[in-house]
Amino acid sequence: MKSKTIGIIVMTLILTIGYTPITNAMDYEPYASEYLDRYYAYIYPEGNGELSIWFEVQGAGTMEEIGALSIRLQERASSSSSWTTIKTYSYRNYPDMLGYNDNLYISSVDYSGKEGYQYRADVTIWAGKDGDGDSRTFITDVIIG
Amino acid sequence: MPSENNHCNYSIYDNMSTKMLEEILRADSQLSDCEEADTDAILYIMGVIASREEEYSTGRFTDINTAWQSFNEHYMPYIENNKSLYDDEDIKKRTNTRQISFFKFSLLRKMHRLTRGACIAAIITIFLLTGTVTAKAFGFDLWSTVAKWTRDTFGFSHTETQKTDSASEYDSLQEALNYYGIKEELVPTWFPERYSFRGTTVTETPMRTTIYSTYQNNDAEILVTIISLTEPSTSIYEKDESNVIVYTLNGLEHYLMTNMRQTKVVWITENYECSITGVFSFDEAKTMINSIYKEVKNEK
Repeated sequence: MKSKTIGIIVMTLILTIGYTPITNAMDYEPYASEYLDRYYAYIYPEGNGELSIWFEVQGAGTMEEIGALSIRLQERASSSSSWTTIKTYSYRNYPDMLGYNDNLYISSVDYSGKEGYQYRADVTIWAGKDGDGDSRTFITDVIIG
Repeated sequence: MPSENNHCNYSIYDNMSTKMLEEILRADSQLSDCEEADTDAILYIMGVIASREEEYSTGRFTDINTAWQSFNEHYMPYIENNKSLYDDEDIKKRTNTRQISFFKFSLLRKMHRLTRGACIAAIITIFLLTGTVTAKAFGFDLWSTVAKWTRDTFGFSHTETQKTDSASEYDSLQEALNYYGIKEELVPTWFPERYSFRGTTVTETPMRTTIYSTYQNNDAEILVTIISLTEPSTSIYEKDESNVIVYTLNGLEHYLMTNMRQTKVVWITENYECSITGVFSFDEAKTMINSIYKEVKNEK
């Protein structure tokens, strides 16, 4: 009984946590940002399957927090039609993904991939100050490791 | 290169904005299957949010009675039922395909997530007991500002060399360009008098070298950015609904636009992506553009 109760609570929470951002993303489409000015990301094949994922975020002025919140690296074999997320980089585990009190921030994360495989990254960038901010999510160009 | 964080030092979260903390929680909820959640950090963050809410109530987490009543009414009756709260048909009615996929991924096939969810549920229960939040209010409001997508952005595509990640300081934008052997006319020599030069920084990455100068007037800034490109690439520029004005000078098209309270000029020449962004008028923007070129051949 107790475990089922906890399970139901968990389900309720995951439903609300998981669904709401997606729903809101579709309902609300801003045209501009008071926090973000310019952004870009790319994957650089270092050779032998080694990859570096670079991102650049320019704020609309100096931001208290600026950078990337998460990077989801996706992999695909040349013979496959579907992408698989193989690594998720979160600011929480990679603090260099975020800069502070800056108007432009550039950083990267590394990954040891497989030669000949295709890679792309789903990048969520962020800029914020005074307790508010904006995030954007976009996908890099595809490269071959 | 970024390295693994020290998971025991959670004091860094004390100084972060509430919205930032909420973003971290959201990112945690979306970690992939192979990623380990730092439950202690999540508990700490939620504690910070809860204490802030208790101290300075935002009014976002107030409907505790309604939420608890809803929970008892909608979920408790199924507690003896061995199936999930919603079957697929229910979900199809409530959500779209993408959400169904997330549901299956999160609930039916990833049992370890339940453990993480149980910890979150425990915290929520604490919130309920303390009267600060409800599960429903928590789920809706806490994540409401996440993952916004924009339609009206501005971007280029183009071409570039270098291979480090170092950042260097210079006394002027022109000095930095000289150091890198860039001879093109790219640097404005006139800026609104109210702004003063703050500094020039160069950051090199494998495919892009970003050279930028900041001019400041109290809280307002002008940022001049010149990016040397070695490969075709595209920056995305935020802009609002106003039209893009094309200002052609010396055969180059300079695109003037606004992004909320800011004005920006974006142009491309050779393998350089250039922009001037800040709080200034279109007339001042054109004067800055004019000042880039020693000889003005034509103007529109």
